[in-house]
Amino acid sequence: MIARLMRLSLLLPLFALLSGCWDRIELNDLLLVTALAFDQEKGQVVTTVQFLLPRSQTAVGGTGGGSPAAKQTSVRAGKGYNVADALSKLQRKLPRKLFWGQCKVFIFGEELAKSGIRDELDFLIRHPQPRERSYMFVSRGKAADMLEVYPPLERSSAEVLRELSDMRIGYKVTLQELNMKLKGESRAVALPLVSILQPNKTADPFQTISYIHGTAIFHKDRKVGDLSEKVSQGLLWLLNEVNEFTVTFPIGDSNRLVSISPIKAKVKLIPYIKGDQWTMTVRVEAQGDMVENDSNWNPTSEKLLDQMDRAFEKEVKRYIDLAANDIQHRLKTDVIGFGTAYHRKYPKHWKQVEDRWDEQFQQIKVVTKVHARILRTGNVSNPGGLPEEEIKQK
Amino acid sequence: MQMKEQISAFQMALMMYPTVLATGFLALPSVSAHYAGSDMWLAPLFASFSGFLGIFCAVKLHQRFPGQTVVQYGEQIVGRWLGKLIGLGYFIYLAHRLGTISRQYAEFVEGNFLFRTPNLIVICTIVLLAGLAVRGGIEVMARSAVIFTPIFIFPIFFLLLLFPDLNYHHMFPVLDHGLVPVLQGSIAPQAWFNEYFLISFILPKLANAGEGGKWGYISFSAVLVSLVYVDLICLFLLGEDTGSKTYPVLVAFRFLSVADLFENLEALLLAMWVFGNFVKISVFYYAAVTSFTQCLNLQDYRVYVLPVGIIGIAFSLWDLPTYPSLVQHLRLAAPFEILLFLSAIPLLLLIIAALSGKSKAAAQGS
Repeated sequence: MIARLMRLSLLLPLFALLSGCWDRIELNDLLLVTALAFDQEKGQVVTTVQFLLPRSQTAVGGTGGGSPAAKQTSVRAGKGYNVADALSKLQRKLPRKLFWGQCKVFIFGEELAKSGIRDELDFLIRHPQPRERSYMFVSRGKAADMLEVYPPLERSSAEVLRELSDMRIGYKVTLQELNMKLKGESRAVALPLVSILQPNKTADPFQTISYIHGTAIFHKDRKVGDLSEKVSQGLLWLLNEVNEFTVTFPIGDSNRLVSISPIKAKVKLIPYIKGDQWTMTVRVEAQGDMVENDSNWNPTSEKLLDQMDRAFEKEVKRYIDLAANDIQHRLKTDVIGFGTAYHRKYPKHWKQVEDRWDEQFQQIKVVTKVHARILRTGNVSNPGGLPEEEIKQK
Repeated sequence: MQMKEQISAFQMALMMYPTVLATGFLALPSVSAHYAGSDMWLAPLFASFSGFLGIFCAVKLHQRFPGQTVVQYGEQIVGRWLGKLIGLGYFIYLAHRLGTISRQYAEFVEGNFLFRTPNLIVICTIVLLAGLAVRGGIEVMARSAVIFTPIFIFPIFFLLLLFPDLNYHHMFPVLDHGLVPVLQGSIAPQAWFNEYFLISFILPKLANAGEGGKWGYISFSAVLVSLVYVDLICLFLLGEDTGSKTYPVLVAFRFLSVADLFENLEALLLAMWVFGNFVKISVFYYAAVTSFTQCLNLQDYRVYVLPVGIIGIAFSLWDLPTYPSLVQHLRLAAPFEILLFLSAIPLLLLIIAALSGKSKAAAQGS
């Protein structure tokens, strides 16, 4: 019996391993990172972390619960020869260890984006802590500024960016997608561009958010240009990322507006080669409900509704053509994925143009075919607030 | 004499599944994609031949020499001295594999979860645990496999939750670069599938040895389907980038996010990996110990479990200073090592036995 107990007691040291061996970490030794920003400064990289302030601390140090938008995050920056170096220098200024489990936002500064993001990307994709699902952004101006602001809603400006991306009104690119696109056929990618929203008149100077406004275009790992907010919407159509959009377009000769929302759309890129002519057909199926009708047209009339549908189609086509033209002829960078589409359908032709794809991309003729339908007209049939005799019935 | 221990063919099937896939899930998608790119999912199909061959050899040889392992009948087929040499070869090979497998396990745990824990501790704990199971005998191993293998299989279904992120277009164009890269990519899965010849060490312990072949093939088919499934998930999620990832399956698990609620699921993969590797390491461990004792005609194998484990641990660190050197070994050397011991030698033995008409009955008759 005693011999048995002795033997069992040999297992006791195993308990020492239960806490995670050498990697035991206490929660209050961790710094919860919410976002990381990369900037360039005199040839070195400045890495700024935004981290959550533990709640108890804000209650004591804050305004005593009076302000609904107490600052819940803080930032700190480190400068180094590369990201890893900067982070190790940053860690020297932080009493807690960086923990990345909650970090889902990475922002590249404008200057850094122009000189290339490959080094930073390698760190993010190689290091085991950053998550492949994190959202990538490019800022107008310094990226660190995007983290300095603290939003009236949500815990951090990083959280705001993530929520905005998730709503799919803007464009969302994950770390993994960014890596794949830069390695992909066209070696190009579009990233959402963020800037700081002007704070309200009554808010503190930094009590605001950074929001998505426009798109940054990367060729290889360098930013080569921007798309305006309007062209960015067109790009979303081309990328089949349309969701919860509102499309507003004029109808008839009076140019009064009609709005459709939310739009559901399916976009297909159909590559075609005939002789030397490469044609890309963009086939769009769009539909949505009418939410506003400023004209005097009665949408329940079949004939008028049909005309509205045509106007709706024209507007979608305008968006897409605008974006395709801008991307093809101004930026000359295939962020739409035409290369991938051609590679998949015409692998043999692809091999011939692979090396000079950027030139070939500009030669492609884009044909947009839109089929759009207004599905429902909302809670009223006739235009609101308009006397019966002024309504155009057909 | 060893105790009369018996397991069922079904238990054997459950033991063999993680024996191939515990390391296979993590290593194979990446190796196959490295060569075959977007055709990586074809590689296991092309490689499946070697799995069937391994089972076929083991079963046919066992039919000629019931109750014996490859080390024992090897001696009878090619004579005493050559047979002993083959037996010794098997022991060294199996102990070496025991080492490299535990090293692979440790590298994964180390590189992704326990960054500061010494390698040796991770290796020693799993080898010690497997050693206890081996010492307990094949019945203990079989019973733990019955519990652990389902736990090992279950998490891979979670990958289906990735559905919104999967893009099947990544598999086109099929065979863009022809068949050669696919065949190159199939060498590594071939080696892994070959491990099915290890049933040679388990068949003698089966209560229903006649069913051994059937369950072997069933188990192997499950392995094949699972590997193609995991390859496709990796391909649809990561595209050709799969080849540049160290552990594509880990990335897939990290990518999982359901309604902002289920996230950071890689802990699930770690659990799966520990269970699977425990089974895998104990099967190799058991085969190594068995080949050692049978080669030297030793009586009680239990005494030799610990020493063989120490040799395995030594092999796990020997000549493999860094992770890239382990990858080089697994990509270039291990497939040939495995093909030699688990494919070429068994096939030769079977051919010689068939040509010379040797079997246990014939040996006893003469």
